[in-house]
Amino acid sequence: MGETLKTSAIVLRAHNYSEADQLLVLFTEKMGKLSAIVKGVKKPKSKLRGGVQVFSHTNMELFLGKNLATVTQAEPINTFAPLREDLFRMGCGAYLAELLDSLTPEGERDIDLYRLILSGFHLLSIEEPWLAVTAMKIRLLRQGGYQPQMEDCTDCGQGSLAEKFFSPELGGVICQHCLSKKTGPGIIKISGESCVIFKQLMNMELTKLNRLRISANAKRELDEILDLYITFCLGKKLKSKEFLDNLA
Amino acid sequence: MFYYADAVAKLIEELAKLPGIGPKTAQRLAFHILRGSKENAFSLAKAIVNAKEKVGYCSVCCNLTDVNPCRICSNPGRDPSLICVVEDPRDVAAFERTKEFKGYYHVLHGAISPMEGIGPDQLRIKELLDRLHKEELKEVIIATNSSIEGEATAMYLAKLIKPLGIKVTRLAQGIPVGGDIEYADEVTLSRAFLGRREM
Repeated sequence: MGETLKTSAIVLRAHNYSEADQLLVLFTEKMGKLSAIVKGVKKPKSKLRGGVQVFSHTNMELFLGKNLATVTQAEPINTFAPLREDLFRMGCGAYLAELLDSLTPEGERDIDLYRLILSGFHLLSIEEPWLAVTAMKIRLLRQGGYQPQMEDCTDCGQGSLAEKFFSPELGGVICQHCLSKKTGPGIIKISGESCVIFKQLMNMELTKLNRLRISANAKRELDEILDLYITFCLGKKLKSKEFLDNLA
Repeated sequence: MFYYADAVAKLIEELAKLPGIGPKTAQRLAFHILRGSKENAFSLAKAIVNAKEKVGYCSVCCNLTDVNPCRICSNPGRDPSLICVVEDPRDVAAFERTKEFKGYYHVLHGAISPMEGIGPDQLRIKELLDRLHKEELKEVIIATNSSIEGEATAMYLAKLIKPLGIKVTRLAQGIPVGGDIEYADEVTLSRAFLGRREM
Protein backbone atom coordinates (compact mmCIF):
# COMPACT_ATOMS: atom_id res chain seq x y z
CA MET A 1 0.00 0.00 0.00
CA GLY A 2 0.96 3.63 -0.13
CA GLU A 3 1.35 3.58 -3.91
CA THR A 4 -0.25 5.64 -6.66
CA LEU A 5 -2.58 4.31 -9.30
CA LYS A 6 -3.27 5.91 -12.66
CA THR A 7 -6.52 4.71 -14.13
CA SER A 8 -9.65 5.85 -15.84
CA ALA A 9 -12.74 5.61 -13.71
CA ILE A 10 -16.45 6.29 -13.64
CA VAL A 11 -17.87 8.16 -10.67
CA LEU A 12 -20.87 6.20 -9.41
CA ARG A 13 -21.78 8.17 -6.31
CA ALA A 14 -20.55 10.98 -4.10
CA HIS A 15 -21.29 11.56 -0.42
CA ASN A 16 -20.42 14.67 1.54
CA TYR A 17 -17.65 14.02 3.99
CA SER A 18 -16.49 16.48 6.66
CA GLU A 19 -16.46 20.19 5.81
CA ALA A 20 -15.38 20.37 2.17
CA ASP A 21 -14.49 16.78 1.18
CA GLN A 22 -16.42 14.11 -0.64
CA LEU A 23 -16.30 10.35 -0.47
CA LEU A 24 -16.63 8.88 -3.96
CA VAL A 25 -17.55 5.42 -5.11
CA LEU A 26 -15.61 4.86 -8.32
CA PHE A 27 -15.65 2.05 -10.83
CA THR A 28 -12.07 2.00 -12.06
CA GLU A 29 -10.65 0.29 -15.11
CA LYS A 30 -7.73 -1.25 -13.23
CA MET A 31 -9.13 -2.09 -9.79
CA GLY A 32 -12.90 -2.37 -10.15
CA LYS A 33 -15.02 -0.67 -7.52
CA LEU A 34 -13.08 1.58 -5.19
CA SER A 35 -13.93 4.16 -2.53
CA ALA A 36 -11.84 7.30 -2.68
CA ILE A 37 -11.82 10.57 -0.85
CA VAL A 38 -11.46 13.83 -2.71
CA LYS A 39 -10.27 16.66 -0.54
CA GLY A 40 -11.46 20.24 -0.59
CA VAL A 41 -13.74 19.60 -3.56
CA LYS A 42 -16.39 22.02 -2.32
CA LYS A 43 -13.99 24.93 -2.13
CA PRO A 44 -13.99 27.34 -5.07
CA LYS A 45 -10.26 26.81 -5.63
CA SER A 46 -10.52 23.03 -6.09
CA LYS A 47 -8.92 21.90 -9.34
CA LEU A 48 -10.37 18.42 -9.08
CA ARG A 49 -14.04 19.35 -9.01
CA GLY A 50 -14.72 19.11 -12.75
CA GLY A 51 -13.44 15.56 -12.92
CA VAL A 52 -15.19 14.08 -9.92
CA GLN A 53 -18.82 14.88 -10.67
CA VAL A 54 -21.22 11.94 -10.51
CA PHE A 55 -21.50 9.98 -13.82
CA SER A 56 -18.20 11.46 -15.12
CA HIS A 57 -15.73 9.30 -16.99
CA THR A 58 -12.38 10.58 -15.79
CA ASN A 59 -8.66 9.97 -16.01
CA MET A 60 -7.56 9.81 -12.39
CA GLU A 61 -4.51 9.52 -10.27
CA LEU A 62 -5.22 7.94 -6.90
CA PHE A 63 -3.04 7.58 -3.87
CA LEU A 64 -3.84 4.22 -2.30
CA GLY A 65 -3.64 4.73 1.44
CA LYS A 66 -4.05 2.17 4.20
CA ASN A 67 -7.83 2.43 4.36
CA LEU A 68 -9.01 4.79 1.69
CA ALA A 69 -7.71 6.02 -1.64
CA THR A 70 -7.29 9.76 -2.19
CA VAL A 71 -7.87 11.44 -5.52
CA THR A 72 -4.79 13.46 -6.41
CA GLN A 73 -5.57 14.28 -10.04
CA ALA A 74 -8.73 14.15 -12.11
CA GLU A 75 -9.20 15.09 -15.72
CA PRO A 76 -12.65 14.49 -17.22
CA ILE A 77 -12.92 12.53 -20.48
CA ASN A 78 -16.71 12.68 -20.74
CA THR A 79 -19.10 14.20 -18.24
CA PHE A 80 -22.24 12.74 -19.87
CA ALA A 81 -23.91 16.16 -19.78
CA PRO A 82 -27.33 14.92 -21.06
CA LEU A 83 -27.64 12.88 -17.85
CA ARG A 84 -27.48 16.08 -15.82
CA GLU A 85 -29.88 18.02 -18.02
CA ASP A 86 -32.94 15.77 -17.91
CA LEU A 87 -34.52 14.62 -14.68
CA PHE A 88 -35.64 11.21 -15.97
CA ARG A 89 -32.26 10.44 -17.58
CA MET A 90 -30.57 11.49 -14.35
CA GLY A 91 -32.83 9.14 -12.37
CA CYS A 92 -32.02 6.31 -14.80
CA GLY A 93 -28.28 7.04 -14.51
CA ALA A 94 -28.56 7.01 -10.73
CA TYR A 95 -30.40 3.69 -10.96
CA LEU A 96 -27.67 2.08 -13.09
CA ALA A 97 -24.95 3.44 -10.81
CA GLU A 98 -26.74 2.14 -7.71
CA LEU A 99 -27.37 -1.25 -9.33
CA LEU A 100 -23.70 -1.61 -10.28
CA ASP A 101 -22.63 -0.47 -6.81
CA SER A 102 -24.92 -3.07 -5.21
CA LEU A 103 -23.91 -5.91 -7.54
CA THR A 104 -20.15 -5.63 -7.21
CA PRO A 105 -17.70 -6.07 -4.32
CA GLU A 106 -14.82 -3.62 -3.79
CA GLY A 107 -11.47 -4.14 -5.44
CA GLU A 108 -12.42 -6.76 -8.04
CA ARG A 109 -11.19 -5.83 -11.47
CA ASP A 110 -13.76 -6.46 -14.18
CA ILE A 111 -12.94 -4.82 -17.47
CA ASP A 112 -16.11 -6.11 -19.18
CA LEU A 113 -18.29 -4.57 -16.51
CA TYR A 114 -16.31 -1.33 -16.79
CA ARG A 115 -16.89 -1.21 -20.55
CA LEU A 116 -20.53 -2.13 -20.06
CA ILE A 117 -21.33 0.71 -17.65
CA LEU A 118 -19.42 3.13 -19.85
CA SER A 119 -21.45 2.16 -22.91
CA GLY A 120 -24.55 2.27 -20.69
CA PHE A 121 -23.99 5.93 -19.85
CA HIS A 122 -23.26 6.67 -23.53
CA LEU A 123 -26.48 4.94 -24.52
CA LEU A 124 -28.47 6.75 -21.85
CA SER A 125 -27.15 10.09 -23.13
CA ILE A 126 -28.37 9.59 -26.69
CA GLU A 127 -31.10 6.95 -26.69
CA GLU A 128 -34.65 6.81 -25.38
CA PRO A 129 -34.09 6.45 -21.59
CA TRP A 130 -36.45 3.49 -21.00
CA LEU A 131 -34.80 1.45 -23.76
CA ALA A 132 -31.29 2.29 -22.55
CA VAL A 133 -31.93 1.64 -18.87
CA THR A 134 -33.83 -1.63 -19.46
CA ALA A 135 -31.14 -3.02 -21.79
CA MET A 136 -28.49 -2.06 -19.25
CA LYS A 137 -30.37 -3.60 -16.31
CA ILE A 138 -30.51 -6.92 -18.17
CA ARG A 139 -26.87 -6.76 -19.22
CA LEU A 140 -25.62 -5.73 -15.77
CA LEU A 141 -27.51 -8.66 -14.25
CA ARG A 142 -25.95 -11.04 -16.81
CA GLN A 143 -22.46 -9.66 -16.20
CA GLY A 144 -22.98 -9.87 -12.44
CA GLY A 145 -23.91 -13.55 -12.73
CA TYR A 146 -27.67 -13.17 -12.28
CA GLN A 147 -28.89 -13.83 -15.84
CA PRO A 148 -32.48 -15.11 -15.63
CA GLN A 149 -33.51 -18.19 -17.61
CA MET A 150 -36.14 -17.01 -20.11
CA GLU A 151 -36.43 -20.01 -22.49
CA ASP A 152 -37.19 -23.36 -20.77
CA CYS A 153 -38.95 -23.99 -17.47
CA THR A 154 -36.49 -23.29 -14.65
CA ASP A 155 -38.10 -25.93 -12.45
CA CYS A 156 -38.71 -28.98 -14.68
CA GLY A 157 -36.62 -28.03 -17.72
CA GLN A 158 -39.45 -28.42 -20.24
CA GLY A 159 -38.90 -26.48 -23.48
CA SER A 160 -41.18 -24.65 -25.95
CA LEU A 161 -43.63 -23.47 -23.34
CA ALA A 162 -47.10 -22.37 -24.40
CA GLU A 163 -47.52 -20.12 -21.38
CA LYS A 164 -44.74 -18.65 -19.28
CA PHE A 165 -44.72 -17.34 -15.72
CA PHE A 166 -41.78 -15.49 -14.19
CA SER A 167 -40.56 -16.49 -10.74
CA PRO A 168 -37.96 -14.16 -9.17
CA GLU A 169 -37.14 -16.83 -6.60
CA LEU A 170 -36.21 -19.44 -9.24
CA GLY A 171 -34.55 -16.83 -11.44
CA GLY A 172 -36.50 -17.47 -14.61
CA VAL A 173 -39.69 -18.64 -16.28
CA ILE A 174 -41.73 -21.64 -15.22
CA CYS A 175 -44.40 -23.65 -17.04
CA GLN A 176 -48.10 -23.90 -16.22
CA HIS A 177 -47.59 -27.31 -14.63
CA CYS A 178 -44.85 -26.11 -12.24
CA LEU A 179 -46.88 -22.99 -11.45
CA SER A 180 -49.58 -25.14 -9.85
CA LYS A 181 -46.95 -26.54 -7.44
CA LYS A 182 -45.68 -23.10 -6.51
CA THR A 183 -47.47 -20.86 -4.11
CA GLY A 184 -46.53 -17.47 -2.84
CA PRO A 185 -46.46 -13.96 -4.21
CA GLY A 186 -44.27 -12.48 -6.91
CA ILE A 187 -44.98 -14.90 -9.77
CA ILE A 188 -46.33 -13.11 -12.84
CA LYS A 189 -47.53 -14.23 -16.23
CA ILE A 190 -45.24 -13.07 -19.00
CA SER A 191 -46.14 -12.78 -22.69
CA GLY A 192 -44.16 -14.29 -25.54
CA GLU A 193 -43.40 -10.78 -26.82
CA SER A 194 -41.78 -9.77 -23.53
CA CYS A 195 -39.55 -12.87 -23.62
CA VAL A 196 -38.44 -12.09 -27.18
CA ILE A 197 -37.77 -8.43 -26.35
CA PHE A 198 -35.87 -9.48 -23.23
CA LYS A 199 -33.50 -11.62 -25.30
CA GLN A 200 -33.07 -8.91 -27.92
CA LEU A 201 -32.28 -6.29 -25.26
CA MET A 202 -29.68 -8.68 -23.85
CA ASN A 203 -27.99 -9.73 -27.09
CA MET A 204 -28.56 -7.09 -29.75
CA GLU A 205 -25.83 -4.64 -30.68
CA LEU A 206 -26.40 -1.54 -28.56
CA THR A 207 -26.39 0.77 -31.59
CA LYS A 208 -29.27 -1.16 -33.16
CA LEU A 209 -31.53 -1.19 -30.10
CA ASN A 210 -33.56 1.75 -31.39
CA ARG A 211 -34.92 -0.47 -34.19
CA LEU A 212 -36.96 -2.45 -31.67
CA ARG A 213 -40.69 -1.79 -31.58
CA ILE A 214 -42.00 -2.57 -28.12
CA SER A 215 -45.65 -2.49 -27.03
CA ALA A 216 -46.72 -0.68 -23.85
CA ASN A 217 -47.75 -4.04 -22.39
CA ALA A 218 -44.30 -5.58 -22.92
CA LYS A 219 -42.68 -2.49 -21.36
CA ARG A 220 -44.90 -2.79 -18.31
CA GLU A 221 -44.22 -6.54 -17.98
CA LEU A 222 -40.45 -6.15 -18.36
CA ASP A 223 -40.42 -3.33 -15.79
CA GLU A 224 -42.37 -5.49 -13.39
CA ILE A 225 -40.27 -8.66 -13.68
CA LEU A 226 -36.94 -6.81 -13.63
CA ASP A 227 -37.97 -4.80 -10.59
CA LEU A 228 -39.06 -7.94 -8.72
CA TYR A 229 -36.01 -9.92 -9.79
CA ILE A 230 -33.49 -7.17 -8.93
CA THR A 231 -35.14 -6.61 -5.53
CA PHE A 232 -34.97 -10.38 -4.92
CA CYS A 233 -31.31 -10.70 -6.02
CA LEU A 234 -30.10 -7.74 -3.97
CA GLY A 235 -32.39 -8.34 -1.01
CA LYS A 236 -33.37 -4.66 -1.00
CA LYS A 237 -35.24 -2.13 -3.08
CA LEU A 238 -32.99 0.37 -4.82
CA LYS A 239 -33.50 3.93 -3.58
CA SER A 240 -33.35 5.44 -7.04
CA LYS A 241 -36.17 3.11 -8.11
CA GLU A 242 -38.45 4.91 -5.66
CA PHE A 243 -37.31 8.21 -7.13
CA LEU A 244 -38.12 7.02 -10.67
CA ASP A 245 -41.52 5.75 -9.52
CA ASN A 246 -42.26 9.16 -7.98
CA LEU A 247 -41.34 10.89 -11.25
CA ALA A 248 -43.73 8.80 -13.31
CA MET B 1 -14.15 5.99 30.99
CA PHE B 2 -12.85 5.53 34.54
CA TYR B 3 -10.01 8.03 34.21
CA TYR B 4 -12.21 11.07 34.69
CA ALA B 5 -14.92 12.12 37.13
CA ASP B 6 -18.37 11.16 35.87
CA ALA B 7 -19.36 14.74 35.06
CA VAL B 8 -16.20 15.32 33.01
CA ALA B 9 -16.59 12.01 31.19
CA LYS B 10 -20.19 12.91 30.35
CA LEU B 11 -19.11 16.31 29.00
CA ILE B 12 -16.46 14.68 26.80
CA GLU B 13 -18.98 12.13 25.57
CA GLU B 14 -21.50 14.83 24.64
CA LEU B 15 -18.91 17.00 22.88
CA ALA B 16 -17.65 14.02 20.90
CA LYS B 17 -21.11 13.68 19.36
CA LEU B 18 -20.58 16.93 17.42
CA PRO B 19 -19.55 16.62 13.76
CA GLY B 20 -15.82 16.74 13.09
CA ILE B 21 -14.97 16.26 16.77
CA GLY B 22 -13.20 13.10 17.81
CA PRO B 23 -12.44 11.89 21.35
CA LYS B 24 -9.16 13.83 21.59
CA THR B 25 -10.65 17.13 20.48
CA ALA B 26 -13.62 16.52 22.79
CA GLN B 27 -11.21 16.11 25.71
CA ARG B 28 -9.39 19.31 24.80
CA LEU B 29 -12.66 21.26 24.57
CA ALA B 30 -13.93 19.82 27.85
CA PHE B 31 -10.77 20.81 29.70
CA HIS B 32 -10.86 24.25 28.09
CA ILE B 33 -14.40 24.70 29.43
CA LEU B 34 -13.40 23.45 32.89
CA ARG B 35 -10.37 25.72 33.04
CA GLY B 36 -12.37 28.79 31.92
CA SER B 37 -14.56 30.95 34.12
CA LYS B 38 -17.95 29.85 35.37
CA GLU B 39 -19.60 32.71 33.44
CA ASN B 40 -18.17 31.53 30.11
CA ALA B 41 -19.38 28.00 30.70
CA PHE B 42 -22.84 29.21 31.72
CA SER B 43 -23.12 31.52 28.74
CA LEU B 44 -22.20 28.64 26.39
CA ALA B 45 -24.79 26.35 27.97
CA LYS B 46 -27.39 29.12 27.89
CA ALA B 47 -26.66 29.88 24.22
CA ILE B 48 -27.22 26.23 23.29
CA VAL B 49 -30.46 25.96 25.24
CA ASN B 50 -31.70 29.32 23.92
CA ALA B 51 -30.96 28.45 20.31
CA LYS B 52 -32.68 25.09 20.64
CA GLU B 53 -35.74 26.51 22.38
CA LYS B 54 -36.30 29.72 20.47
CA VAL B 55 -35.25 28.87 16.93
CA GLY B 56 -37.91 27.44 14.65
CA TYR B 57 -38.90 27.63 11.01
CA CYS B 58 -40.23 30.83 9.44
CA SER B 59 -43.83 30.27 8.37
CA VAL B 60 -43.15 32.07 5.07
CA CYS B 61 -39.67 31.16 3.81
CA CYS B 62 -38.91 28.12 6.04
CA ASN B 63 -35.58 29.64 7.11
CA LEU B 64 -34.43 29.17 10.69
CA THR B 65 -35.58 32.08 12.83
CA ASP B 66 -36.31 33.20 16.38
CA VAL B 67 -39.15 35.53 15.31
CA ASN B 68 -41.99 34.53 13.06
CA PRO B 69 -42.04 35.62 10.23
CA CYS B 70 -38.27 36.00 10.04
CA ARG B 71 -36.50 39.34 9.78
CA ILE B 72 -36.08 39.09 6.00
CA CYS B 73 -39.72 38.11 5.35
CA SER B 74 -41.04 40.91 7.59
CA ASN B 75 -38.89 43.56 5.90
CA PRO B 76 -41.24 45.62 3.64
CA GLY B 77 -38.30 47.29 1.89
CA ARG B 78 -37.46 44.23 -0.19
CA ASP B 79 -38.66 43.40 -3.71
CA PRO B 80 -41.78 41.19 -3.43
CA SER B 81 -41.63 40.08 -7.07
CA LEU B 82 -38.45 38.01 -6.59
CA ILE B 83 -37.89 34.77 -4.71
CA CYS B 84 -34.50 33.11 -4.48
CA VAL B 85 -34.74 29.36 -3.73
CA VAL B 86 -31.79 27.91 -1.77
CA GLU B 87 -30.96 24.52 -0.26
CA ASP B 88 -29.76 25.55 3.17
CA PRO B 89 -30.09 28.44 5.68
CA ARG B 90 -26.33 29.00 5.32
CA ASP B 91 -26.88 29.83 1.65
CA VAL B 92 -29.21 32.69 2.68
CA ALA B 93 -26.39 34.11 4.82
CA ALA B 94 -23.96 33.77 1.88
CA PHE B 95 -26.30 35.72 -0.43
CA GLU B 96 -27.05 38.35 2.22
CA ARG B 97 -23.32 39.03 2.58
CA THR B 98 -23.18 40.00 -1.12
CA LYS B 99 -25.83 42.73 -0.54
CA GLU B 100 -26.79 42.23 -4.23
CA PHE B 101 -30.11 40.51 -3.84
CA LYS B 102 -33.09 42.51 -2.62
CA GLY B 103 -35.88 39.98 -2.99
CA TYR B 104 -37.11 37.29 -0.60
CA TYR B 105 -35.85 33.75 -0.05
CA HIS B 106 -37.21 30.26 0.24
CA VAL B 107 -35.21 27.55 2.00
CA LEU B 108 -35.77 23.95 0.86
CA HIS B 109 -33.70 22.29 3.62
CA GLY B 110 -32.01 19.82 1.31
CA ALA B 111 -31.96 18.75 -2.30
CA ILE B 112 -33.55 15.95 -4.30
CA SER B 113 -31.18 13.00 -4.37
CA PRO B 114 -32.12 9.99 -6.51
CA MET B 115 -29.35 7.88 -4.94
CA GLU B 116 -30.14 8.67 -1.34
CA GLY B 117 -33.86 8.27 -1.99
CA ILE B 118 -34.58 11.88 -1.00
CA GLY B 119 -37.64 12.85 -2.98
CA PRO B 120 -39.50 16.15 -3.42
CA ASP B 121 -41.85 15.26 -0.53
CA GLN B 122 -39.02 15.50 1.98
CA LEU B 123 -38.22 19.12 1.01
CA ARG B 124 -40.15 22.36 1.56
CA ILE B 125 -41.45 22.40 -2.00
CA LYS B 126 -45.14 22.35 -1.11
CA GLU B 127 -44.65 25.52 0.96
CA LEU B 128 -42.91 27.17 -2.00
CA LEU B 129 -45.77 26.30 -4.36
CA ASP B 130 -48.31 27.68 -1.87
CA ARG B 131 -46.34 30.92 -1.83
CA LEU B 132 -46.23 31.08 -5.62
CA HIS B 133 -50.00 30.73 -5.79
CA LYS B 134 -50.59 33.41 -3.15
CA GLU B 135 -48.00 36.03 -4.02
CA GLU B 136 -47.61 38.18 -7.14
CA LEU B 137 -44.24 37.12 -8.52
CA LYS B 138 -42.23 37.93 -11.60
CA GLU B 139 -39.24 35.66 -11.16
CA VAL B 140 -38.03 32.67 -9.18
CA ILE B 141 -34.25 32.37 -9.02
CA ILE B 142 -33.10 28.81 -8.39
CA ALA B 143 -29.86 29.00 -6.43
CA THR B 144 -29.34 25.34 -5.53
CA ASN B 145 -25.81 23.92 -5.59
CA SER B 146 -24.21 22.94 -8.87
CA SER B 147 -23.98 19.31 -7.72
CA ILE B 148 -26.02 16.52 -9.25
CA GLU B 149 -28.57 16.87 -6.42
CA GLY B 150 -28.77 20.63 -6.89
CA GLU B 151 -29.31 20.21 -10.64
CA ALA B 152 -32.00 17.60 -10.06
CA THR B 153 -33.79 19.94 -7.67
CA ALA B 154 -33.50 22.86 -10.10
CA MET B 155 -34.94 20.83 -12.97
CA TYR B 156 -37.78 19.53 -10.84
CA LEU B 157 -38.68 23.03 -9.62
CA ALA B 158 -38.50 24.50 -13.13
CA LYS B 159 -40.90 21.79 -14.33
CA LEU B 160 -43.36 22.71 -11.58
CA ILE B 161 -43.07 26.50 -11.70
CA LYS B 162 -42.94 27.24 -15.45
CA PRO B 163 -46.59 26.23 -16.10
CA LEU B 164 -47.63 28.91 -13.57
CA GLY B 165 -46.36 31.57 -15.98
CA ILE B 166 -43.55 32.73 -13.68
CA LYS B 167 -40.05 33.31 -15.07
CA VAL B 168 -37.61 30.71 -13.70
CA THR B 169 -33.89 31.47 -13.75
CA ARG B 170 -30.80 29.56 -12.63
CA LEU B 171 -27.61 31.09 -11.20
CA ALA B 172 -24.78 31.53 -13.73
CA GLN B 173 -21.90 29.05 -13.72
CA GLY B 174 -18.36 29.74 -14.88
CA ILE B 175 -14.96 31.14 -13.98
CA PRO B 176 -14.68 32.26 -10.33
CA VAL B 177 -13.49 35.82 -9.61
CA GLY B 178 -9.70 35.92 -9.63
CA GLY B 179 -9.65 32.46 -11.23
CA ASP B 180 -7.10 31.37 -13.79
CA ILE B 181 -8.51 30.06 -17.08
CA GLU B 182 -5.56 27.70 -17.51
CA TYR B 183 -6.55 25.85 -14.35
CA ALA B 184 -10.30 25.83 -14.91
CA ASP B 185 -11.73 22.42 -15.72
CA GLU B 186 -13.41 21.65 -19.04
CA VAL B 187 -16.94 21.50 -17.65
CA THR B 188 -16.66 24.89 -15.94
CA LEU B 189 -15.13 26.42 -19.07
CA SER B 190 -17.88 25.14 -21.34
CA ARG B 191 -20.53 26.42 -18.90
CA ALA B 192 -18.73 29.76 -18.87
CA PHE B 193 -18.95 29.87 -22.68
CA LEU B 194 -22.64 29.07 -22.62
CA GLY B 195 -23.32 31.77 -20.02
CA ARG B 196 -21.18 34.54 -21.63
CA ARG B 197 -22.69 38.02 -21.77
CA GLU B 198 -22.36 41.03 -24.02
CA MET B 199 -20.15 43.85 -22.76
